[in-house]
Amino acid sequence: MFLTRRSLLVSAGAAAAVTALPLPVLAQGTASKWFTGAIVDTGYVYRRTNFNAIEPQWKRQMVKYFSSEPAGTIVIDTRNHFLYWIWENNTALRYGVGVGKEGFQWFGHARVDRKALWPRWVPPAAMRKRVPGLPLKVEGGAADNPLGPRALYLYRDNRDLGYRIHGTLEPWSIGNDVSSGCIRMFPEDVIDLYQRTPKGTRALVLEHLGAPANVVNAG
Amino acid sequence: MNFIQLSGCRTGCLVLALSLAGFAAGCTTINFANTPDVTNAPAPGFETVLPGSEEDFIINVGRRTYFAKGSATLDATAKRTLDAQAVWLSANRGWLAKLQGHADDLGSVEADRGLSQRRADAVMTYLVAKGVEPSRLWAKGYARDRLVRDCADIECKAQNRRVVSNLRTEKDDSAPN
Repeated sequence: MFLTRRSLLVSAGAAAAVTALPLPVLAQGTASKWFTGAIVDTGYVYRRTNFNAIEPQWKRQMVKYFSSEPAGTIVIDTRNHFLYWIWENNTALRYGVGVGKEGFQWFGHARVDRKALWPRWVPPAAMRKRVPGLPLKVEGGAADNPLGPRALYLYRDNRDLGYRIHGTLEPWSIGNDVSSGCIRMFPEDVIDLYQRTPKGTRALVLEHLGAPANVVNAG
Repeated sequence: MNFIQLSGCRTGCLVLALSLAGFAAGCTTINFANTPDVTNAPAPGFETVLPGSEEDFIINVGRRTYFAKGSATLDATAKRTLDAQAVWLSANRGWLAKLQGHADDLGSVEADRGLSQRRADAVMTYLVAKGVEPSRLWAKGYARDRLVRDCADIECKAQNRRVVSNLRTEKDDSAPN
């Protein structure tokens, strides 16, 4: 697993240690304020986020949202670290997200044409160059798979944009810009979004305005 | 446009507005009876979400079950949503649920009415099998009456092929006696 400096600072390496442990140990949880127990989901295990340790604005919530985007659209605001699922009557279900380097290099309209349970992770070549020692691939469901329990893949004109909405092993990274990945959500939230958005869902990625304020550079 | 400032407003702004008698810069539309009409203000009714409330069901379970084109068969994703609904409904027995089916896949309104009813019936059968009392549920097909979006593209179609599990406190005219 690749490490951000933030994870080292915030959790003192606890996350790095746990990813090397076998699942039964993982399921018992570790002494980390970010997690509380474990959840079994479609045959695999993830660590339950301790939402008491999460700032309120990053939790899933229903908000007003004024936009010309139609109901049923996913809107990703990388600058402010929110993902919206648009409802009728100027409301939206809002989730907190973390934004990786690959997450703010593209913007525009797209469509969710593929969804996956416990996706396999194949680090892109650019990321492997940036972070030496990354594996060629990590199987879905493995404890050190940074995509977590779900991924939604954005396409445009039947072409995979390489732009993904996925889970994370690092709940402290939600609300931040980080060095790797695309759009990361709490595992509980990416599971929730997966359930709510059928294949064919419209998506809009807003332009990442200005320089990212707090990129944690691991490379 | 500064969403961060607005989202930070939700707790801070009320205090600020009180102390400045409503002159808080950037929050001048704040209204003590409702939340302000700005992006990221809490949606009405969702300021505080209590366990067992309709808002809890909407945010933490989800009302919508989706279907493939022309189909009333529950796939694995639909079953996971319904499993969660069944658990919630079993824990919150004061609620009834009207299962509202929708369809715009087929050639005629009458065919869509039949498909939307079969979708709603499939959801009801599944919830009952998972332990929800049939007396608390009823199913109604709406054909194309309540589309999320009306267009020929998959972006619209995917949203319309659905059943919405709508919480109710009493039965309406569409419920059987």
